[in-house]
Amino acid sequence: MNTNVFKTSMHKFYIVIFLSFLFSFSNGAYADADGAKNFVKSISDKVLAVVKDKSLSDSQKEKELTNIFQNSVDAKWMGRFAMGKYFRQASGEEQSKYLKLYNEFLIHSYVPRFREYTSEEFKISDVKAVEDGQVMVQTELVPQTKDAPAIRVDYRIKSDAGIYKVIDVVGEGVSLITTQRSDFGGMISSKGVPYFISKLEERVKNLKLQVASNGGKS
Amino acid sequence: MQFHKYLAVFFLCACSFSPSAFSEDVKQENSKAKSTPAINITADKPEDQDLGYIKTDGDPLEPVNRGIFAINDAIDKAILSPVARTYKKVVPEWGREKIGNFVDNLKTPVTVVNSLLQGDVDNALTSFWRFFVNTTVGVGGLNDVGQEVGLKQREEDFGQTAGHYGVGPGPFLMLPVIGPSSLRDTVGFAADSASNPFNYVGGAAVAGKAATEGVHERSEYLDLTDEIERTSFDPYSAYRSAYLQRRNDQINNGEK
Repeated sequence: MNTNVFKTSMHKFYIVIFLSFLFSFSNGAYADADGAKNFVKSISDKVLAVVKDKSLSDSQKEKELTNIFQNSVDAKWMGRFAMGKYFRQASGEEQSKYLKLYNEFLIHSYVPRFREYTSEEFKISDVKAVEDGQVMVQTELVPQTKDAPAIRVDYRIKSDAGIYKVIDVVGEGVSLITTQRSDFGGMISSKGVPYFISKLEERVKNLKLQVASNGGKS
Repeated sequence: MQFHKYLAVFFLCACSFSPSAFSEDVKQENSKAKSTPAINITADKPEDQDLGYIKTDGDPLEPVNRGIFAINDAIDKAILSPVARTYKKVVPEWGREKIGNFVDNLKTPVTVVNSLLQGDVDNALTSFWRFFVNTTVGVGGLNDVGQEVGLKQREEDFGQTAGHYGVGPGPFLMLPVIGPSSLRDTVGFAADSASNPFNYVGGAAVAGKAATEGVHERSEYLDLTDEIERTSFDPYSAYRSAYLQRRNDQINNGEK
């Protein structure tokens, strides 16, 4: 049954997550859905410009994309959501250590994957107001092969005093932070917060080594 | 054939599991639809919010599911995933594309029936013409001519039909070999198999179809499973959550 569910496009979901983040950062204030749409569009152009720039080395690209990521994504917000109820159970020290690691975890998991980009076309298909005054910018990644279906990726965007930030990436209906909440919670509920944080630290360390040795390809 | 017997047995077992959890789930979903808070007082506390996404943590059969997951994982690592990797390496992309089209085409009758059951005449007709065009011009379904002429594929199944009429997923189930499912989708899957005319063409052909489907589809989500292995801390929970979200999205046809 999982075959049915994941077959059409889920298998590409994680590959495109890095793009999703990068396509959607913010450095200005937009008061409405249309503004958010134009904003995402202009960012996607900039990101593609970096990815396609032949004069930049891979490590230079990674640096630029990481900068874009840091300016566009509210990793602190996402990290808190992802840890869910266990965030309150953690000590202040654990909380700040976790949030720092979570930020690195996202960056080192997804930014290096720009290498897998294969000329998909990026299209904004719709913009919707959702709960809490947030906006969902719905996009499609259209593969160049003629009979492959497009991949739907939505960005959830919140605004604070006119500064927009990405707080979730939803690929084919699967929310990154909701999946992480189950994923992290599954470990924390049986092994506890300190164990989880030590595993996260280990993971971040390994991801950094991987990037250093083979450019993020596994 | 044996596969179907197996499914039937499992289906019966599944139905004897906690009906209360099943109805509770439906209730939960109904009450949720009505209550969207107008004012958000927890905006600064993301850990207390759910952003209106479906809940994916309920799991009354977790110990059993985890046991099956461990066995599945071992079988997958020993047999399924190596076979799928070899298939991906040996068969060129255009060949895999044709096999994928062929496998998809055989499922189209089930999509037509379920689109009609959901009152979605549009998708029923689109799927009907896809099947017609792909089977004839597309040489027995090897070529997705339908997609090229703008007949877009959207698969429907009995699990989605039940979901369309408000049936919640019920308890999450990890099925042996097949993988993540729910009570609703397991029943639906049994109905899909029973209603698919191509499952009645004879033993060897059905076995061949099942094997082809299995290998091809496993190869299609190698990237996903590799990625979950790479990024998750408790893969079982990640699969459960992703499965339930994806099914919910399919039921809403990606429009919610």
